[in-house]
Amino acid sequence: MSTVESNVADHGNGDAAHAPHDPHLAHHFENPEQQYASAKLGMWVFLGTEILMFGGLFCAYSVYRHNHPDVFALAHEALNRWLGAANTIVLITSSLTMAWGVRASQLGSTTALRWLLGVTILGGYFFMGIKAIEYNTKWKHHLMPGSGNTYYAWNGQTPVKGFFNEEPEGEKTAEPTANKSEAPAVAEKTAPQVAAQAPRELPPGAAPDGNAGQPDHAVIFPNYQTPKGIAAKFGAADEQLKLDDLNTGDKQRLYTFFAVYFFMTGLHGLHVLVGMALIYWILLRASGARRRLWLVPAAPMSVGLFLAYLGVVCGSPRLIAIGVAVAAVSSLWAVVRYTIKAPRLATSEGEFGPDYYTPVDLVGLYWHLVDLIWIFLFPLLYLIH
Amino acid sequence: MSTHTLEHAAHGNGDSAHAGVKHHHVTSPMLLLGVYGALVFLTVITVGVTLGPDLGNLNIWVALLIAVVKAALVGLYFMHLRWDNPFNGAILVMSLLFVAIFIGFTIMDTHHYQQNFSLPGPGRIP
Amino acid sequence: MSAIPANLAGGHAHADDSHGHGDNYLNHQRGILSWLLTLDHKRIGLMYMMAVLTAFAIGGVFAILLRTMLWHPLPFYGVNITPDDQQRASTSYDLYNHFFTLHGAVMVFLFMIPAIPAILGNFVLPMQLGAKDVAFPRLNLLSFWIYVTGLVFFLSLLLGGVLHVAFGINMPGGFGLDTGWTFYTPYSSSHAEGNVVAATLGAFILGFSSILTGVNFLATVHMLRPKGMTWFRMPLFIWAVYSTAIIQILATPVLAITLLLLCAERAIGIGIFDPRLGGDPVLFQHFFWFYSHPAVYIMILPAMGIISEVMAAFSRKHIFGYAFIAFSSLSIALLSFLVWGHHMFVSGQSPLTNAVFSLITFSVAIPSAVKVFNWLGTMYKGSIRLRTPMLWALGFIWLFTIGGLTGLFLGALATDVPLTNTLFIVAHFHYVMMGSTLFAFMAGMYYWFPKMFGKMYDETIGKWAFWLAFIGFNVTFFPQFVMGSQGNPRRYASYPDGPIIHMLGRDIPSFVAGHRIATVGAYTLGLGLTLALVNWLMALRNGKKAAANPWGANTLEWHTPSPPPHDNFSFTPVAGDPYDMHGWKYDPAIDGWIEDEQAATRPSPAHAH
Repeated sequence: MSTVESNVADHGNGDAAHAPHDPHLAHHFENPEQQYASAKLGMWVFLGTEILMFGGLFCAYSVYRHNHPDVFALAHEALNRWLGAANTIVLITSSLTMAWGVRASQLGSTTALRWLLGVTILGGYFFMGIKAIEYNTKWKHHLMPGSGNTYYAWNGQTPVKGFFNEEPEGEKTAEPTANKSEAPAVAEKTAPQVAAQAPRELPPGAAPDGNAGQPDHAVIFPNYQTPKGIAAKFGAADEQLKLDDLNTGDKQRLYTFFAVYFFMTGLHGLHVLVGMALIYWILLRASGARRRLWLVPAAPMSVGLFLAYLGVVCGSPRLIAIGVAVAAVSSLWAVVRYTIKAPRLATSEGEFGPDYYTPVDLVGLYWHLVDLIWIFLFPLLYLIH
Repeated sequence: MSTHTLEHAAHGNGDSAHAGVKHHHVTSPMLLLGVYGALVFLTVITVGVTLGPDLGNLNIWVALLIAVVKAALVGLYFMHLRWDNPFNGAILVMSLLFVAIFIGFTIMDTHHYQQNFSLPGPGRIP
Repeated sequence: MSAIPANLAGGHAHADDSHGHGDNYLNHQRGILSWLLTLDHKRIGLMYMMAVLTAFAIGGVFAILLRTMLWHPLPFYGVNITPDDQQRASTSYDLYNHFFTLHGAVMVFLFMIPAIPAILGNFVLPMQLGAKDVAFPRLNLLSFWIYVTGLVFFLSLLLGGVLHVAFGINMPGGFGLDTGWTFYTPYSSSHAEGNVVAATLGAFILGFSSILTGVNFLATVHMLRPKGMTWFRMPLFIWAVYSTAIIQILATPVLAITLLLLCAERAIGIGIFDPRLGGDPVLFQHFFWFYSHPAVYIMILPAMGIISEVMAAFSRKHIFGYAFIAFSSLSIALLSFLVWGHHMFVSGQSPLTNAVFSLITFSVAIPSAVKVFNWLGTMYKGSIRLRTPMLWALGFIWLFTIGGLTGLFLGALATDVPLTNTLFIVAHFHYVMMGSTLFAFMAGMYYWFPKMFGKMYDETIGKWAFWLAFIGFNVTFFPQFVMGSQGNPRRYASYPDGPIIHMLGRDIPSFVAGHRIATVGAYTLGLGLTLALVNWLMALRNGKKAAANPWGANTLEWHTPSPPPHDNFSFTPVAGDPYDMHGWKYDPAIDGWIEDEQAATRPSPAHAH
């Protein structure tokens, strides 16, 4: 809202009725109440558009679940419901701290506001941290979306297509025509061999996913090894549903579940990241210049620590090193900056108080919406019976 | 978009007596904690239901019902809808309604044409 | 109450000395940055005008190229032609596919959707409302720049096409776009050569621009109405833009997610839309039309709003059936979400769904007809002045009626099935969305041009432009109804050119005459529109000074000088009945209308409140 001030400077003389100008009141509003209500209305409308955007994904989800209930029931076994539940609790908790933060800003208790915002951001990190563990597991199990689990590299022209059309003749025989009665037998027989088999040769220009060729303990085999989708018995945990009960087409459709899963949680995760950035922005504005001295470097520091954590999760020493380095440099920056500049600055409060807390409120609404969407995603993705 | 909402909005404009926005509703700590407790409790319930007996098709509806109750709690109390301009709540309801229209019409006949695709149709466990 | 005329008089006094040298929004600040970074809704509207008209010109050039290609039918594949000819024909077919795709995509996403809300809505809506600006000026500016970013994505497609054709260079991800503006899967996801990812990202970005504009207008209408501006004193243009905003907000996000999914499908093959990977291509059509059908009303609703304004002003008569028009806008907005399946009658949808969608489709005819009858009622016994804006508005009614009535053929299941994918469809949607939107846009541009720039245009040239465009339009598209009903498919670069061909046991007529007439019409239409542009440029250069109220209309924007000051009003505007024009009398000295003191003293509905 930096331009608000310049607006006021430009046109402050326009409306003589409100002589002592509220610094946060833009020139085209009559009074702060109108401005607050407008901002809130605008935010709600924006949240409505977010709901409709996710609505598209929920629609795709419903259509596939409606038509292939067995696929969803089986594939969701690959998700860890305890991690999902933990994430739900984390998000609900951070929603609580955010709502409490709005209360604190309404009452003018700025110290409480800063603490609560900090805890909310921490909640975001927790959420993303747990999500990272889940994504990493899927990655290790070759359950990423994409045809043949293959990432298409740009080859200067068009993405490589026709992967499934270019199968060798021999493998084609088992395709859709295989009738249901003999499918289980075929699957059991071929399973061990396929597991041991080396990845098929990829079409030119296509790059396999990063862990191709690694030993794979997943129950679902990567598409590029077994173009028919699944070759092994799936999901020992659930005795009622077995992979062999699915027909050939549905075996291949297991990947649709993961496409939907990654798209929904990925878009949601993106919203979490945006929400964290917004809360951090609010936190900066809620702090005086002196506190900002260390709050500004705190951002790269926490990102560095998170990168290091990601390195631990996916076992990448390089990522750990980068993360630690970023964190160390930013800590150093924080210390130096604070030591040099802090003595010259008096402790001061941020700009929020009982008279003006619109941004806190709006960002809070956004954060609650992110929570709200997760409340639906969790049972729909993790708790299919 | 009832007339009531329209009037409300119209009145909001003429209302220039307030210098600040301090008269907005402040949620009490007990209420916040109570809502939080209810949300955690419902999360436990919703996980518990899937571990429990198989309710068949009813299962997803139970899960969705719990999710709707949780969403309503978040909306009404954390997002202040209970004390807010009703039009803001109407926007939320409208968008949910349109998502419902979208999904409802789309799903209506998907089963009908699935057989046209090259992969075999939906699998059924005998 | 007595202060009102004084206020208005003050406004006009200001108007008189502000010509040329007074402080107005055009000269309030100087320098290129004061335009590029402006928060003033009027300047943002003008910047939109530059960008959108550029896009319109690009789309128009493609249209002309298409029609020119169709002067001769390209040879059919494999029908008595040498391999050399076949090779050449194949290249031409490709070119044709790229042309009609870019024509459609540019016109829909870059011209018709933003044209009226973003240009005229931005410029006029806050002033008609009596507000100083839109609710979120910075969001407004952001929305403009997002639009420009989307434009750049589409230009990159053009660049890719040119590089490919001229130099054989292939851009990363393909060149040009040949999927049709609808991006149907699986062609777009798996087969198309074009740069589908850039196109979908461009449309995705443009969608955000549209959403932000919608959010802004909705909040503005709700929150910034000054004292006295009740919901039923709002001009009908505002009702129309408000209804449009609802559609933009509720429909566009679905387009966003559709395009993201399509991008992912195209780039990595996630298997949601591609049947080879277990996806459902009909689902894509559901996704796409859930947005794109309401999008048709994003184009037409604000157009209808303009017509309501122009009809009342040039019939010198109160608009007939105000509340009916207002509510028909809202009901069109809501109904638009329930009819998208009528685009999919032959997609493999179940017969039950087809019947349901067909039935609901017919209900849209009711509010549309309500509007048309109300405009006719407004003109009835009015003192009609056939100035340029009125001509364009009458043209709109003509085109919209033809387009709407032929829409009934397509909404009815039995007639739609044979007519789908023929030129009949092309003619229908050009009449109903392109013709209507364009003519209403032109009516609005001519109507508010004096307000925008404080200059009057040459009436004679304006009328010439109208007649050329109107005749050209009908000559272009009416033959396509005929050819379509005779079976000429759409999107084909070739057509039968013999006297009468006997094929598959049917007599297929020659389409040469129809296509050539249409091509001539397209050139005429292009000429008319160019003439209108010339007309405006001439007016900017040496047009007469425009009065504050050249038409005698009573909506609030005519109460402030032309061009308006930076804050829109130098006085507090007081809203009365927007269509009560009794308080104005014609002053030949300034060729405009001034407040009539006698009317102000005698009781009239305008000041009754």
